[in-house]
Amino acid sequence: MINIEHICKKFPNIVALDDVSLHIYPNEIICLIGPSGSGKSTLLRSINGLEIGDSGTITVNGELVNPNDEQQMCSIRTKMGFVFQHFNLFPHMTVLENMLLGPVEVQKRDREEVKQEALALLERVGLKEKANEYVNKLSGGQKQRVAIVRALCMKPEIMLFDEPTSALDPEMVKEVLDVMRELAKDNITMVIVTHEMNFAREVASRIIFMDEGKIVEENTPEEFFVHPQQQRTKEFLAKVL
Amino acid sequence: MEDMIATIQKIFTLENLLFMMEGVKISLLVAVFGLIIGTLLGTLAASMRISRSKVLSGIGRIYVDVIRGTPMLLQLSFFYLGFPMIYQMITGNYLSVDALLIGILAIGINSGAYVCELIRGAINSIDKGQWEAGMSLGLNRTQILKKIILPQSFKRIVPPLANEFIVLIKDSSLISTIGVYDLMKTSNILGSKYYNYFVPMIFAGIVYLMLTLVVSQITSKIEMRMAESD
Ligand SMILES: Nc1ncnc2c1ncn2[C@@H]1O[C@H](COP(=O)(O)OP(=O)(O)OP(=O)(O)O)[C@@H](O)[C@H]1O
Ligand SMILES: [Mg+2]
Repeated sequence: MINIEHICKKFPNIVALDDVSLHIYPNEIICLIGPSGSGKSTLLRSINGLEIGDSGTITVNGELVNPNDEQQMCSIRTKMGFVFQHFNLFPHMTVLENMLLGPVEVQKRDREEVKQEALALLERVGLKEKANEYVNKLSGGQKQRVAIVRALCMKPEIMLFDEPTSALDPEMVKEVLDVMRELAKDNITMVIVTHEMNFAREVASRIIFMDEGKIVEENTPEEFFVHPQQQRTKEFLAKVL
Repeated sequence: MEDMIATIQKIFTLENLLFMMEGVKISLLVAVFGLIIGTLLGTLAASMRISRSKVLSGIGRIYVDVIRGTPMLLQLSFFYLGFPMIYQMITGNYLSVDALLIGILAIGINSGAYVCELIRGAINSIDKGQWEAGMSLGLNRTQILKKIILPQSFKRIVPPLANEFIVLIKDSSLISTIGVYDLMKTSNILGSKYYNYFVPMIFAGIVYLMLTLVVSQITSKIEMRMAESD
């Protein structure tokens, strides 16, 4: 579905991605884990072109991505939902307006129809009564749930999550993870950067461990957590588990 | 002391007060239209500067740099004296310019450069995450600006724009140098008429101060309102 081949990305002080290749298959749930600064966010952001690699290629459904072609980038991004650590909701809009913007403005879908879908999604995440609130009035956990359904409203083929619970108070983590568990049950393709090891173990079909811009190890959750192969993986797991 | 009071009584006749009030009107007129022209030009220049066209953003940049890098008094003289001269050199015809009109235009062009930068500042102050969220929904640059960035920038433009208005109320006094009868000029005229510059000047200063205080009071009220709606 998405093929990332030999992508490299340098920032002024550091090599964030060092020849990374990754194939994402339909209905997979990939959890990306690794120490801080290992390039997880950079890799995830490269998938939908928020970060452009210095070299390497990305193909989406067989189509080669050209980062200089704004139209193509936009149309590819509509197929991918992205959930940010800091939500990035639009503060000048209500919850519903946040959700309608993409489908109406980009996909040119019928406003009323999308609205019904948006309300149904809000109901599923328990926020229907917040539909007409401004997003600043919501708690962190509520904001992140809105961010998730805002992305879902575009009917994406894949959902990308960058540490969706890292900015949340502990008591709000569960409500967000529960929403993601629901998505996992629906077999939605997902790539999730997370520090929630138990959650990763529970939902992932594949775990990818990154360190210093490289994929060090990848495996099924059982194998990965029970029989890590690489020394660096073992050291990392010893620290976080 | 008694001399002083006598002078004050001599200067503050109804006729003279009306004369100065005409000057106040002109000063405000220049500031208001200067701000309107400045806002229009500033918006245009800002959209050029943030556009991806190198030519457009280059033009916008030159405009801002030239205006902000040269004295306003010089710009004023250029438009009043230099521009008609150039016109005459090129066309051979004499161009008579209206000092007030040219003054407003020059001040508007000057203000546009500052307004451009404060608009750009407001746009740049919006969190990068807002751009990224827009991009992740597949919006293009123009849509992100129109639907996400500008509506949020607007609130941040109002306070510095009000400040710009205060600056213009004060800087409009420069047009007295090209013979426009604004508050500054009228107080000067009264000064030379009564051989006493001190009293009319203090009076003009108080009027400028009142005008700017009123504007800043209104601004902080508006700011408070906007803060409430957040
Ligand atoms: N825009 C940027 N400019 C400069 N350096 C950057 C930029 N973005 C990331 N980096 C650097 O690239 C490296 C990889 O960053 P990345 O955000 O991908 O790490 P991460 O694995 O997501 O870490 P974390 O768990 O802290 O989020 C880091 O050293 C980071 O400082
Ligand atoms: Mg990160």
